[in-house]
Amino acid sequence: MEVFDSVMLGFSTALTPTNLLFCFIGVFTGTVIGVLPGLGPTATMSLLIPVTFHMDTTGAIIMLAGIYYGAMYGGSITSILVNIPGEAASVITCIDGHQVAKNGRAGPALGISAFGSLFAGVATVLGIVIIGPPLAQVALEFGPPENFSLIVFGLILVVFISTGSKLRSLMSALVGIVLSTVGLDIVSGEERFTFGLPYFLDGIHIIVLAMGLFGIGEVLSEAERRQSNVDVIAKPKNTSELLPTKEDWKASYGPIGRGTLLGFFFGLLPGSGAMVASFGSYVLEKKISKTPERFGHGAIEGVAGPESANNAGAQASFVPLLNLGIPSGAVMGVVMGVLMIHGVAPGPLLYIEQPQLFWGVVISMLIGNVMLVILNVPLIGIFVRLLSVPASILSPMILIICIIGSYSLNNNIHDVVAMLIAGLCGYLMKKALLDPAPLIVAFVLGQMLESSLHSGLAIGYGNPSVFFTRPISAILLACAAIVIISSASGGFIQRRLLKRLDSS
Amino acid sequence: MKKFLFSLAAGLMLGHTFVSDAAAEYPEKPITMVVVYGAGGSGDTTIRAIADYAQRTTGATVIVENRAGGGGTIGVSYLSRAAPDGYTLGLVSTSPFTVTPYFKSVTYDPLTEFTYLGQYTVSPAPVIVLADSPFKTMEELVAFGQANPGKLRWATGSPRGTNHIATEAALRQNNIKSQFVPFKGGAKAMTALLAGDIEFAVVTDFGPALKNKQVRLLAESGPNKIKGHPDIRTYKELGYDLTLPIFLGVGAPAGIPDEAVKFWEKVLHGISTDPGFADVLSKYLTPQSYLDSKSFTDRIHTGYVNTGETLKELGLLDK
Repeated sequence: MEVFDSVMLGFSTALTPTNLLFCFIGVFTGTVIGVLPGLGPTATMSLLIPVTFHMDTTGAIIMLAGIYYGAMYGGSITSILVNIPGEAASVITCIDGHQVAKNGRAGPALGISAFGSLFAGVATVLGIVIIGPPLAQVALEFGPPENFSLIVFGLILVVFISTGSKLRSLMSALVGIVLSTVGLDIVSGEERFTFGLPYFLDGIHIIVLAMGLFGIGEVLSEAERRQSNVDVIAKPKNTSELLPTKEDWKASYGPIGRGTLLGFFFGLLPGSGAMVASFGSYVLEKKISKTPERFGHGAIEGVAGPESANNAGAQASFVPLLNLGIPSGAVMGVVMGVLMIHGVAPGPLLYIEQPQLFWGVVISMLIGNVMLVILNVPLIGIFVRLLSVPASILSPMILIICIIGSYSLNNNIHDVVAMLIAGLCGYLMKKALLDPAPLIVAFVLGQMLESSLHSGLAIGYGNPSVFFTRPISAILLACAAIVIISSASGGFIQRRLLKRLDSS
Repeated sequence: MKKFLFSLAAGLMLGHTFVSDAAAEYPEKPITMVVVYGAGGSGDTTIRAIADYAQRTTGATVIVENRAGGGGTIGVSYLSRAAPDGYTLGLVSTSPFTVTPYFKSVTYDPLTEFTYLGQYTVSPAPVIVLADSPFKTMEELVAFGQANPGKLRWATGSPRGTNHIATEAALRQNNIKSQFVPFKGGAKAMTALLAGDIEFAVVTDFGPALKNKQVRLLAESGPNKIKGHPDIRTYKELGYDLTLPIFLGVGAPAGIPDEAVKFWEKVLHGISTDPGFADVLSKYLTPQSYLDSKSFTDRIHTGYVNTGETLKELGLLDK
């Protein structure tokens, strides 16, 4: 009964005309800035902080939430169409999303991404409603030692995400880890791999790296390919090809469901959120797929999983903020700032003292997701037509978008230079048959690996046994060990089994 | 509603809505305010409130830009290199201007390369423990630290920032060997405290957790009492040598035109009596504390020099 009351309270708050309008403004703005590379949700939301001074608290948070998950929808559009991630959580969608588009099936990819996000959005809201605020406690169970073990597990799976040889993907991943150490060491404050350049003090930005490796890398290989084959991207013949087929749906049910669960879980953890959730989902889908060789060549699962995961992650990350006062990342930091300006202290008492704020925001996500699908699906036809633009026009356009996008991150010209260099590397990696996917995943995880190792060790008084004595951490490390042992001994067990079958 | 839509449009167009048409009078083009930290924290939110106030009261267009990183030093170094024309200003805070230069090579000199326009607040940075922590007073915490070398775990929002240095000095003065846990950002330090992974934290953004009764205050690391908490003693009262006030103000590259200095002194003085701004500050439990350009400059210059001397005396500097 209590659940029913909460949901009704949420609907009555979210359905007021002003809050509906704020929700719409939020999701619309979110989609637009999701499409624009460089201008991410954090930057947009901080621009809007002064605007929220004059707004009602619930309306303000509904709008900001809309921007965040709206950006998850928008971000996939450029990833799929032109191989440029619109924002960080859509980086991984580039890998298979763009390949699907190249096979002439951009429409289905966009459709699956939109419907997968809708499912993830609705399921996340249901999850929050059913399990409720106690969910936030998950954030506290995952301290630095647990995070460290989770990342170790993730990094081991990374080696399996590439289709090519394990050795090449290991090389690519190691380069990613080395790149992630660029900048100031958090413990000693020493500069590492900065070559005395102040630009590198704060490390390399994920969007700069991804736009270069994927966007510019693509433009360069395109320029080379054009001489042999003018029409690279196959165009859809008729409108029925714009929507996902039965086969697409069949392939996507699983990834969408798993992506949602994963996104929900990662969204609750501090310091990871939507981006890590989308990476995790991709790695998982590839690992459990019966045909992992299709990944990287246009597997729709590689779109369905991550895109559901990032939406679920974006929405779930509101739970630890609103119930514990813990912002899981930069975006939630901005939301926390806005709440504080309005005199609302996010924490365990918020849910009791201002239930209309909590449930209003949660239920508005349900409404916002429906708005997003209504907004996005009719546009698929128009977006896909973009692919009919000849490469001689599209390629310079991509180049310009990447340059503007990387500049608008920090208004810093050095980001543009770094992005172009990353692009050149992306092209050379393609030539050397090195997959950039493990690099980008290892880059993201590498930063977290080091900081969680440092703080994890400090929490354990400098004794590494902390990673084995805390139960969740120990389980995760055991899983990592099992993966290594099973793949190393895989061949051996297989031979034994075959032998036994032969003899019987 | 109208007001909202207007500010939304203004916000989305990065504030390029209109430019004052009065010729040759400062400001004649948009002003950029650089926040040397990420969006959402107290420094960022207060600068945005000041920009909002300046736009409303003077008609000037003010754009806020975040240039976070390196404990604020990346943004400050950018500010030092900006043109001294009065159109690029920045947030001035304790760590990058008076503490960090002693621990890290920075490309700017706090004594010569900046014009300090005014201070608007001094924030508290208390020692906090969990609400159900066994430590009821600072003395109990100190006694535990002395009896259990290396077992007292604590964190701040940024390693080698003001909070870290002041408290490290206090612990050393009490002969405590402690376990500092490095985190990037106050939110992570708070999370570790709430999860029970550390014994105490020294952070500025503690307001919500205190209001929610998740934490308790033991002492204030700065020299001033926390508003509304007269019973919480400061490091100064406890007899610790290094007490650093966490001030926030506005600055610019050295040598900006006089009219720009006067303009911003007027804005900062005006906002120091503005009830709306007092309300914003009170959310962070920080009082209005206005200093004009001259007094603020004195505070930073003497603060920078004195901090260096104290650090040397305490043996915290290896230089």
